[in-house]
Amino acid sequence: MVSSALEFMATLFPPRRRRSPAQFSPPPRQKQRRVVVSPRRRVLIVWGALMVAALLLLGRLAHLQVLEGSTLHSIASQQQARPQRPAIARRPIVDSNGMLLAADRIVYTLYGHPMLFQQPIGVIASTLSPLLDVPPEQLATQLKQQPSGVRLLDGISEDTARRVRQLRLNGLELIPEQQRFYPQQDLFSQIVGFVNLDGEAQTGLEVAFKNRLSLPHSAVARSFGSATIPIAELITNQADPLQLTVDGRLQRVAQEALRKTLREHGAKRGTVMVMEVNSGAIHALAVEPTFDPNRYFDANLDWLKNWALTDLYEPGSTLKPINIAIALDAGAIDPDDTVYDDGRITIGPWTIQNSDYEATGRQGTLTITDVLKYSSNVGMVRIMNQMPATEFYAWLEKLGIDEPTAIDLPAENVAPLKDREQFVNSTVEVATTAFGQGIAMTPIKLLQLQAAIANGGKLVTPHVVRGVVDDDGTLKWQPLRPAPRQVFSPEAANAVLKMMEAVVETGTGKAAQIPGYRVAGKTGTAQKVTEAGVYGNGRITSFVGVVPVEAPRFVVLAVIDEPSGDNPYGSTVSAPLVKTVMESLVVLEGIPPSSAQALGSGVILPQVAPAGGDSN
Amino acid sequence: MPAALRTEDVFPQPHRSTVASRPLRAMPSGGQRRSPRASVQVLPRSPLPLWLKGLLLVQHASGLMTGVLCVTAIAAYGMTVHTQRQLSQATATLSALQEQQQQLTNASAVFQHHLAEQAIAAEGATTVQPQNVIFLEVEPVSTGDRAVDAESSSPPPTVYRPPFPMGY
Repeated sequence: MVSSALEFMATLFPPRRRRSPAQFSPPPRQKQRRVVVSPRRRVLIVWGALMVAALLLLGRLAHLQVLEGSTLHSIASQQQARPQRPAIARRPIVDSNGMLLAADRIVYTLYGHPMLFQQPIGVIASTLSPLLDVPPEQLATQLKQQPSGVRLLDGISEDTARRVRQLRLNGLELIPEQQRFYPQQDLFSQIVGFVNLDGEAQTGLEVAFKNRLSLPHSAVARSFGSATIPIAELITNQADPLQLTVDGRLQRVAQEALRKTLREHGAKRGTVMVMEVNSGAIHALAVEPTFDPNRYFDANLDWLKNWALTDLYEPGSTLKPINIAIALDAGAIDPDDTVYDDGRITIGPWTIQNSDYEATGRQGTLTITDVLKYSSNVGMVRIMNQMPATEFYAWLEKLGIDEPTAIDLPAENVAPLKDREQFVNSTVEVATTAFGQGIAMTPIKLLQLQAAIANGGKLVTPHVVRGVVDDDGTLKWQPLRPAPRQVFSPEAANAVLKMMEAVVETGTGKAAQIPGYRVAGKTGTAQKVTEAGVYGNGRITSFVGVVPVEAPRFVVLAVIDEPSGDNPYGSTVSAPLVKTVMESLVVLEGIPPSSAQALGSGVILPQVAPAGGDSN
Repeated sequence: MPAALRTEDVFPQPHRSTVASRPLRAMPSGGQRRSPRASVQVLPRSPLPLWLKGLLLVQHASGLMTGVLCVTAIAAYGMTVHTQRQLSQATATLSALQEQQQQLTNASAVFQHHLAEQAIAAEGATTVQPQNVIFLEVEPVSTGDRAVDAESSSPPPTVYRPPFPMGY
C-alpha cells in the first residue's frame, strides 16, 4: 500500500525531458527500474485514499452524533441557555377605577459560593455591604459557613440586583422569583389581605379567592437557548385582573377621615363602610387599626383581622329603625301611632331609661317618628311590646341575625341568637332587644339590615368583588351570589326611611346634615359589656346614613369603639364622620343635590342657548 | 516493443489519432520538426450514439440541478440559522420588555399612591365637598333616535370633578 503510494507519488514528478506525443517509447535504459503506475491505478489509489478519509470522517461523525450526542447536546444547551424570568404566579387585583391594589413583582435572592470567589471573603463582604444594607461582618460570617450555596439575602429589588450584577464578581448568584407587592400599602390591607413570604395567602381576598387568583404554573424557570422556542411556551406577563367594587378614592377619604376621628376622640378602633343599597356592592370599607401588607410581619396580630366582619357588638339605637320596620310589617303599629314615653321604666329588677332622661327628664306622648328622633328607649320598649315575643323572635330569625351576610371576604363571624325559650319568656330580653342592647351582630350585618330599609325591603348580599375583567373592562367571570330576598314590605321600609330623615333634619342626627341633600340616618350609642359581664363605661358609638332619600343609593355606617372624652355619643363622634364620607361620596358618584333651591345662594341656573345659535 | 509499452489513453477517444488530438500547445521538442505548412485537420467525428447523447444530457442536467440544489440547500440552511437567531433575539427583547412593563406598572402604582397620600396629608379628607362642585344637567340631545331619547329622558347630570389627585 505504502509502496504503491510512493510509486504513485513518483509518477507525479516526471522526468524533465518532455516527451513528444508520439514518443511512447520506452524510457532510456536506466540502472533503476522505475515503476510506472498506470493512470488508472493512480486514480484508483486517489479514490481509495479519499474513500478512506471519508469513512474516517463518517465514523467520527457517527461517534459524535450517536455516542456522545446527548452529552454534547446538554453542554451546548448549558452554554446557550438563558434563564427565563419566572412567570407571574397570581392575578393582579384592581379597584373599580383600575387602580392597582396587588401585583406580582420580581425580587431576587442572593446566593454566594465562596469557593468561586477570586477575592478574599472580607473584600467581597465589604463590597456587597453598602448595596445590600447589611453589615459586612454579618455577610462575612455567613460566607464562612459553607463553601457553596450560602443564602445571603432575599427580597432584593431589581435595582439592587442590577447593581450587584454590575460588580461582576464571581461566585454571586441571583435567583429571581415573583413576590406579591401592594402599592397602596395600608389602604386596602383589610380587604385585599396579604400573602406571606412563602407565597401563601393569609387573609382577605387573597385567601378567599386563592384558587381564582393563582395562575397555572408552567415548569419552573425554564431556560431557552438558540433553538426554536414554540410561541406557546413564551411566558406572558399579563393576566386578567380581579376587579373590586371598592372605589380607591372614596376608600382613601374614608380611611383618612376615620383616622382623624379616632385621633380626635382617642378611640380604640373604628370602621366606616359604604355600600350600594340595591346591589350590595361595597364602595369603601375602612377599618382601623390596619397594617401594611408589604410588612405584615411588623404588624400586631390583632390588626391582621378585619374586625368589621369578625367582632360582634351591640348595635344600640341603630337597630331601632329595623325594629320599627318589624313592628310595622307585623301590623303591631301604624306609622302615625303614638306611644307614651315614661322616660324611665322598671322591668323586674332592671331599670330602663332614655339616654336624655337624667339630663332633661323628658316624658310625654311621642309619635313613632319622634321615638326615632329622640331615640327613646322606653318608647321602643312600648312599641315592641305591641307584638308577641314569639313573633318578634321569628322576625329576628327571618332577618338572618344568626346567619352570615355571605360577603366574599373570609372570616365572617356570626352572632348566635339567644335561645328561643329564653328570649320569649323574658320580658327584659325583649325590652333590651327593642332598643338594640342584649343582641349582638357584626357591623357588616347591621349594614345589610339598614340597606334593606333603604332599598324597599330586600336583603342584599354585600360584596367587594366585581369579577375577573379583561383589558376593556368586560367581565369574564363573576362570583355567584345569592339573590336578594324580600324581608320587609316596601311600604314599611319607606315609612321608616322617612322617619330616619326626620332624625337627621331635626333629631339627634343633625351633625350629618349636608346642605342641599336629603339624608336619612340614625345615631347609636351602646354601652359595652365589661369583662365582668356587666355594662361598664365603655361606649361604642355608631351612625348609619342613607343618601339621597328621594331615590336611595348608598348606605354609610360608621362604628367607633370606645371613644374617650366627656360624653361621646353617636351624634358627636360618628355622625360627623359619616357626613365627611357622604360629602365625598356624592361628589365621586355624581349624585346631584335634591333641589337647586335647597342650596340657597350660589345657584346659577343655566342659560338656555337659542336653538341653532352659538355664543361668542 | 514500443507497441508493447504503449500506454493507453485514460480517456479513450475513439477514432481520434493521437497526433491530431494533441492541442497545438504541444511544442515541438528538440529534434522534432514540423512542417510549417502542415495544417491541423480536424477529422470528422462520427456521431455519438443516441444513448450516449442521452446520458450526456442527463449528466449535464443533473449536474446543473445538483448545483442549483446545493446553492438552495446552503441558502435554506443559512435562513434557518438566521431566523433562529432572530427568534432568540426577539424573545430576549420580549422578555426584557415584559420585565420593564411589570416594573413600570408597579412603579406607577406606587407613584399614584404617594401623590394621593401627599394630597390627603396636605388638605385632609375634606378635599371633595359638594359645595365646591358644579353639577350640570345635560340637555337631552335629540339624535332622531327614539330609543336614545326615551332613555335620556332623565339625564344623569355630569359632574365637574375637582382636581382630586389622579397621580399622573
